[in-house]
Amino acid sequence: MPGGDVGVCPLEFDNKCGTCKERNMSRCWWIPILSMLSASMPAVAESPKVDFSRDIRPILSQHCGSCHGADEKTREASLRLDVRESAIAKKAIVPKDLKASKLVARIDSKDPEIQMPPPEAKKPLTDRQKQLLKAWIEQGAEYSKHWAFEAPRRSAVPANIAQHPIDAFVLDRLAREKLRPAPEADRPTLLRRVTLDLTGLPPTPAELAAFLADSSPNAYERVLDRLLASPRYAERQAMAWLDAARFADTNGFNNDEDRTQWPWRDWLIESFARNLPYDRFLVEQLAGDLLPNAKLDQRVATAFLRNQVHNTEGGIIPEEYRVEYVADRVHTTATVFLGLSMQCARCHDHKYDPITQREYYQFFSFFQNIADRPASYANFVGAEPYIRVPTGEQRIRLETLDAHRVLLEKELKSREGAVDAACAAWEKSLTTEARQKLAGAGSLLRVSLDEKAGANVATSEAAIRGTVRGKSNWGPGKIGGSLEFDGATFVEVLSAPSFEGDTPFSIGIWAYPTANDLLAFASKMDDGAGHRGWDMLLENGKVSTHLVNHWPDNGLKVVTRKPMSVNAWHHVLITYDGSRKGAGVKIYVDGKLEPSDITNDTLKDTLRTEKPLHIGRRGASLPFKGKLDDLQIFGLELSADNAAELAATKPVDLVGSLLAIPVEKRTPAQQAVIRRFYLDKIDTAFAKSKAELADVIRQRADLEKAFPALMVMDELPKPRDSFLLKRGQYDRPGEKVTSGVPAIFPPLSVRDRIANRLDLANWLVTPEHPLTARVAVNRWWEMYFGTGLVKTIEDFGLTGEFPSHSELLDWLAAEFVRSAWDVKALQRLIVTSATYRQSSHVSKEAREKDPENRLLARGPRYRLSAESIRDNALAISGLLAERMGGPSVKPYQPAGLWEDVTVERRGKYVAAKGEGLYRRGMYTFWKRTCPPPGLMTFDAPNREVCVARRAITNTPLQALVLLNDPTYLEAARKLAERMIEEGGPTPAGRVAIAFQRAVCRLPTANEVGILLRLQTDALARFRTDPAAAKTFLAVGDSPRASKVDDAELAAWAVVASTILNLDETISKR
Amino acid sequence: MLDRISRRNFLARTATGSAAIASLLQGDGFAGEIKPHFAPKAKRVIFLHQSGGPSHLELMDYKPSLKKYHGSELPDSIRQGQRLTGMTSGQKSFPVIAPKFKFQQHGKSGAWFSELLPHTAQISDELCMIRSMHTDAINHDPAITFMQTGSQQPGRPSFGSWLSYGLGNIADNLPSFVVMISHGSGADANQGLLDRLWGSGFLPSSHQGVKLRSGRDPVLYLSDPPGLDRDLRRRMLNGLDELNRLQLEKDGDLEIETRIQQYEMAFRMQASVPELTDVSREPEKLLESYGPDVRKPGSFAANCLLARRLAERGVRFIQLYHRGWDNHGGLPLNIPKQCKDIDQPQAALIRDLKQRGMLDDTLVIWGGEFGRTVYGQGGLQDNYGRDHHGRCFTMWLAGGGFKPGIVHGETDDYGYNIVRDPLSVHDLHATMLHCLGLDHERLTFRFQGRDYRLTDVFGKVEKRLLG
Repeated sequence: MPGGDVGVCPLEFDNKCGTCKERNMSRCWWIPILSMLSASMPAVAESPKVDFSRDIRPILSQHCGSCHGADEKTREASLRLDVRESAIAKKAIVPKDLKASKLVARIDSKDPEIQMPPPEAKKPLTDRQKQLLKAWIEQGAEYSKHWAFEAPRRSAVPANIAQHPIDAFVLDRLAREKLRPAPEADRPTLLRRVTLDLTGLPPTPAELAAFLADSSPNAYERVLDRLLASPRYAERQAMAWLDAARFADTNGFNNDEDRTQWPWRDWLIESFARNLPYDRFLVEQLAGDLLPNAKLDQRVATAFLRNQVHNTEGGIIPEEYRVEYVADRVHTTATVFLGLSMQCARCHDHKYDPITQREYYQFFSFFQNIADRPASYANFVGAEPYIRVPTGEQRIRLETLDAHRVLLEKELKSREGAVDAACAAWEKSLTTEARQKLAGAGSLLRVSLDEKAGANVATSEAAIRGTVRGKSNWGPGKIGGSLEFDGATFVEVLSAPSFEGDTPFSIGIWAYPTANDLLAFASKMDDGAGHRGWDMLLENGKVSTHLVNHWPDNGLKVVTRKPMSVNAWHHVLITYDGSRKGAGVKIYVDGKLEPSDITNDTLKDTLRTEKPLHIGRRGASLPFKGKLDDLQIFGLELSADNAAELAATKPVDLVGSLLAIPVEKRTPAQQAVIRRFYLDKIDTAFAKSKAELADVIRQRADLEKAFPALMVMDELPKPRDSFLLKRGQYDRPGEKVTSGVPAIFPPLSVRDRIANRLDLANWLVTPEHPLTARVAVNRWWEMYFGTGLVKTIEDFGLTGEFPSHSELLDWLAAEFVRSAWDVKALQRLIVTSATYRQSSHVSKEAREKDPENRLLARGPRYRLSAESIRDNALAISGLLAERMGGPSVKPYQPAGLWEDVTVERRGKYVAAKGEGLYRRGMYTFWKRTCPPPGLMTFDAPNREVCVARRAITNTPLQALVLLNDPTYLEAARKLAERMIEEGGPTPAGRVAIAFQRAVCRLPTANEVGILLRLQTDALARFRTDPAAAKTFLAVGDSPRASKVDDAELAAWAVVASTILNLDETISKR
Repeated sequence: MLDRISRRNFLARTATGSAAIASLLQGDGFAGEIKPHFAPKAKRVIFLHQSGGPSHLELMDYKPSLKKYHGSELPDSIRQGQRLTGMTSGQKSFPVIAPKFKFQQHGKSGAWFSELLPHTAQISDELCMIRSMHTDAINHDPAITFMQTGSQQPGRPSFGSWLSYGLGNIADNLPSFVVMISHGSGADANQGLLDRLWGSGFLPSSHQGVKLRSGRDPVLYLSDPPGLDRDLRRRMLNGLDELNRLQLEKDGDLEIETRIQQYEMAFRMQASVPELTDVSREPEKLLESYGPDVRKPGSFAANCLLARRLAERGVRFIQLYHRGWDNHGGLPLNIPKQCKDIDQPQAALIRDLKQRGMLDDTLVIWGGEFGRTVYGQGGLQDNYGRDHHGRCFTMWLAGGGFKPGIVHGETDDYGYNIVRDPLSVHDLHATMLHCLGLDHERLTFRFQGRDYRLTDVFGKVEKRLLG
């Protein structure tokens, strides 16, 4: 059905319907069907067949399950009532024999010793439940597998006059219940309904006029085309997912720091905009990081699993919370994709659903293979693993910098290639005296660490600067001063030289270690990219170095045999000949070549990395403890003599000695050192470009640091061991388990390895999966009708509700899979049904027969969501800012709310200026410990845990928000301006404009009369007190646009506020 | 045309079973009364929560032998490998510190009170003091969440929400669950409060606590905007009412009737809340009894007086938070200030309720989320601090069916472990619900397929606490 088929509109509008909104009511396609139905209805209903799944299983699981269910530990009298064989073997049930069935006697007994369920269980059966049980036994006590655990069956669409499959199923049920469907809603109501449903915003008067004027048979289709293509559609769909994904802008818990998960929210919007098929939507959010060659946006998608709360309170036990985070991922995934409440099985076998505790931990183990590092509340950025995701603007800036950088590098390269003649001329021009001055020159970079104070670190290259991270404790060193490293301190140097695998180089440093377990002297290494780069380490007193492209399959490692002493100065030098072999590495300690072992020897490619040079640390780990001094990096393999010079604190006579070698006897590497020296020190053009390049690199690094940090999934190379946790407690591991899915489901099989998150995600989207498609279509059904076909959209398990239309649910699920999970096609399928397009008028009879409208004999009618109510007011008044995505914003909020709850009252809410006040509700900054009050009042959850279904309540506090929140008062003022501007000079015209904007229809004469009386009263009041009008109009930051006088505008604003408060305005109908 | 039936009428009819109307009312925290499971002693609760964890050792759990142990290392036999917070787990020595304050016995029960609580000591005979409270949590967030919702992890409804759900609302134009926060005079609180503590969890959000604040808008968005007077507001609401009724006739949806009623109640709240917070007509003598702070809006004293006024008006659950008890350091300097904030007002509140005959059916409860360690945080110091301690702490209850003038439970000589009659947070909740006429095992709500309780799967009514 999705795709081309829906182009045929089952509902034909009267050609003249543009002129009168009542007329199309008279010609509804339902009517001929009804007459047919009444003819075909059976005269007498047969005695109802008890359906085990619908009628009996809920009783057995809720009233008997705790003692006679799946959990062995709590089972009484070895009797299981959820298994037919057990129930019959124990004679609890004797099919078709009420007298012989012990169960019957027990449920009927009044004796507390005998009665079941026992009175102390406090779960008594109702008479109706007892009758059902007896009828079921009389009918043979047949069991069946729970409907939701069997694959959906695509049953034939019932043959009746309905042209739309949804309607065929709905009519079939209505006929059985002897109910008539409602006539179709009038055009304006329908347009408003579908526009609100698909975009979360009301239609504009122009859109209404266009729809009314479109007499073609596919007018409604055209509206759908427009709405589904709108960016507002993508936002509306994303908004509905945010509760399920417990998205928020802070961590929750005591300290409740800000976080920047919003790039995920933007990914979400984008995914709906490009109509990402639902199977991809699921797979990318659960396992985007594990996809082959995962792209940045696929890694961003996995933030879905990291949106959970995070606790940074001092003194918590990290493992306890790590387990909570993983449990949250299980809970969220099971709730939103499987429609199952798995968390019951965390502490014991599930009482109702066939999920054992062991199976829970098998499922759990899919979600725990990430670092999940604790993070501190001081300067919180993100809890690892996280990635930096550039914003649109940052991406553009990055591209500009990179282009500039390529240009500069090209310039430098070409200068390098063209400089030989100039270099030779310079060499020739050198006097003996000048040559002597060159003693000691020739290192590519020297960081002498001779500062006296502060965090800035100078190097031999003017363009290259370093920074001390952590404490800057300067003191005496081996040569001049040195820096002390306390285990947290390190020096970061950007733009330090990087090497290819085939270029020779040497690195030397003076070190005074105070510990020798595992420390880094220095490194330039990218931990996140297979450890590319180099390091110099102290491992239990032995010096080692890694030269790595990708560890361990493309890298080498050399380690000395003899440990060196601690608490003494040593000179450590590593030299490398560019051979890509471990044999090409030499390690000198205090000028002496140390015997070494090669423990890895697979280097094939470059060592080049953008990561900064670190002195006293490797990447983010192995901090040095002690003192370090005078790091030097050379662009060639130093000799044993050079090593001895360095160890004797003598300058290495590098360039001087090389110049002494006749040109024709120099090796290419030696000549390269001379050329490099000339370029760096003598050639001014080269030095200028080089400085510029260093600056570009620094800017780039700064920019990257400003990218928002996004907590994502990033699988550990080796999965953690998984255990069943007794009673769900982090510190009580039991049996070891491996990842897997509950046995009730189709198997997840992988060959010769342990299944991972990607396998799980792929398994979820297999076409025959019993739950995935059903749960998804049901959630969307709820979006349009207010109640899912399964009301408990979060629980398809044994205690969940039986579907109101099980065949329709299955047909929709099968159709969704068949359409290749086409999300937009599904929306279209639902909203093109006549069922959706019915009038929502509720007759007394319909209300009594079907108060909740589960049979769908009328259209949906209910209050809008918290965000939609606000978005609507902004749209109606013309205030809405349509910008999409980006950091969350802070609209008006009463003062002091954050201070009431935050640590040391330091959280202070500062409302935005301008645009940020008028963005859609989904962009409002969500502080978990103090969520936006205006939204909370209208039933938004606090986003600490996944919530699949919001309640719709109706309270006086909601009235107060709509009457007095500056957001709505300002909207009323702006709507008043609109009424005056667009409504023309007559008062009635002004009211009409506001009605069209707010409820998409013209007011009746009666309604106009009521509002004009109010306007007259208000005007009289404001005329006598102009100051009151002025203060009333002063609410809100937006400027006054109207030239109308204060009293009149204020009076119209009172009218506008009334219209914004109408039940009709805040309801979909 | 529909009958114009008021919400009270709706209620009266639910018993006879119109499903439509029942569904309208379900989960509406502003709806009328719901029958309890059995005859209640208490009709309402005033919870004087001391956020941060007040030290039981300085206040009500007198340990004379600490003088003798002062400065000595806490014996391993007492500490028993107790889980420590990250704040003291690095500490090498755990010196016992005796409180700096004097204690005296008061009342018929002979309960001990520190000199910091002279007024509270005077109402000793009204108090049911529990010295043997214990909690599983040792950090603020989980501990306070546990005390308020029965679970350390977020997501469950708070006590007040359960009560609103279980008993409905009998207040006149006020919500059934009201929350007030005051800031202590000690150091600024270095732990946060959280909206979740008065949140409704998975219960409908109309059961969430409504914050009553000092200032222009005691309830958020209560006041009409400047420039719009009451008369014009009334006229506007009349217009709105008429328009909504036209819609009701047209659509036939009873939800519109509910909406109409909620606007009326909002209008009445605009009068009832300012009337509630206006204490100018309280007798001077009574104001004095609450202490000088009673005239400072937002203070604990002012909130205590408001608590009584809320109780009079039928509010079910009145939750006060007084912040600033987290004395990791500087305890001897800070705790007297904190005590001064609360001592006179809370004693006055008990007396005030008693005088009005309301103490019998008002359950007042006092306490924090845990106690504090007998050993000093940061070692032996003059201006010492104490770390969190969940193994024992003191709370008291008054009225509402609790036995007055008794002391329940006992801790060891160090005030570190319970030696007699431990009472868990779940037991406390179960016992409180019992006084309110609710069986904690029957007060359930089905969420995601499971019947949830305030007491989870634990809790036992402690009958010995009941009068």
